[in-house]
Amino acid sequence: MKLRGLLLLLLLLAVLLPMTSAFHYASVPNFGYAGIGSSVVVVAKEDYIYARIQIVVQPLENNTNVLIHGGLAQTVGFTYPNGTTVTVTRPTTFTIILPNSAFFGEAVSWETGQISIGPGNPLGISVLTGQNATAFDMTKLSPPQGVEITQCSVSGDYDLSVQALGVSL
Amino acid sequence: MSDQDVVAKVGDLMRTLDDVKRYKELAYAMVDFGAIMVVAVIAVIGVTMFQSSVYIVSGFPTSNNGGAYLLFGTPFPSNILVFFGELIILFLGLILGVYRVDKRVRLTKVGEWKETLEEGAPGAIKILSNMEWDSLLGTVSVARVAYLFYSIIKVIGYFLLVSVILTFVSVFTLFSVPATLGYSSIPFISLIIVLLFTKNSLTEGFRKLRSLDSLFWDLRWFASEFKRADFNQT
Repeated sequence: MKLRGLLLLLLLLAVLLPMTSAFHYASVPNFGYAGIGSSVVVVAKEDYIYARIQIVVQPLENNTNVLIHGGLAQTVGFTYPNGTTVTVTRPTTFTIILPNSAFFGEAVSWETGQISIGPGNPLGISVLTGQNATAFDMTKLSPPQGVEITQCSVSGDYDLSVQALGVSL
Repeated sequence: MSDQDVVAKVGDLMRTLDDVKRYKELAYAMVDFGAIMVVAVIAVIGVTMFQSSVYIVSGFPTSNNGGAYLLFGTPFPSNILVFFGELIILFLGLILGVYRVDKRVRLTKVGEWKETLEEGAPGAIKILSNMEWDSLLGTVSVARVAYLFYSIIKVIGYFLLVSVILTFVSVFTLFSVPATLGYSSIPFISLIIVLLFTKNSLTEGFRKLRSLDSLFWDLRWFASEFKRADFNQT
């Protein structure tokens, strides 16, 4: 009887173990940028991933650890994926929810110069800055079916970090 | 051989067989031990998955700037309280498992033969005559495997626990792992620590395994001799 119980527990463990690989994490920590220009945060994911992206934007102007010499600090602006822009005057966390559009989808491998995703990493983040960001045009990318791309941008003098946590559904 | 010698030798044999009985109980207790450890691991996985689900639904702390820890190769944003909780679950599971095994082994009924042996040589012959040799040999065999299995599981359990604690200490308190060795050295350091702390227990284990081995062969010989002896025919 006890042995049967142990076997059931082992079975439960065997079911749970693969489920841990359903969660995916990606991050770009402490990305700083000062100068006239902007950064583009690009998120690519497989369509069966439900993800939460948290972008922390901290203006350098109000950061007591940073001294800006010569010239004025640029005002920081954050542009959502839908194009809405907000001014950031203090450390702010922007949250973007990317729902899944498919269930139990098939993983598609896709790679560009900026970002890559595949079965092993179905959730990817990249922060492009300077000329890379200026040259980046999402419309020029043609991801294969099953891959979704989202982008938002930050302009001004800032420090940012991006974290994403997603689950395969 | 005098009557007293016979009583003394049968007494020695029965005491050894009592130890074997304890090891047999150990074999059955291993099921409990395994179940407790599996429940602890399931709880850790469950807590981690629950934490990640809550993080996805309601947000996660961003203060750790990308800090994450790995669970079976999958990185998760770290929360020091959850991580502590998981360590405690694993530690309690291990302690509870070892306690459960020890308790069952301690509660094994032994020494029931003492009363009969007090009758002297006739009592000793009676004990030997009532013995089920085939099942006894099977029990000794099971006891050997159980003891070996238990020792291995205990060392692996302590090794995993020390590895997790060392990783935790390295990651969260910036304990300086020797730079030339890096984090890959943690399993080796853990193994050395565990082997140092369990050295006596392992030596004793090997001694017991060897004595069980020789007991098995002695009993086989004795059983066949005893069955052929005249006093067993009456």
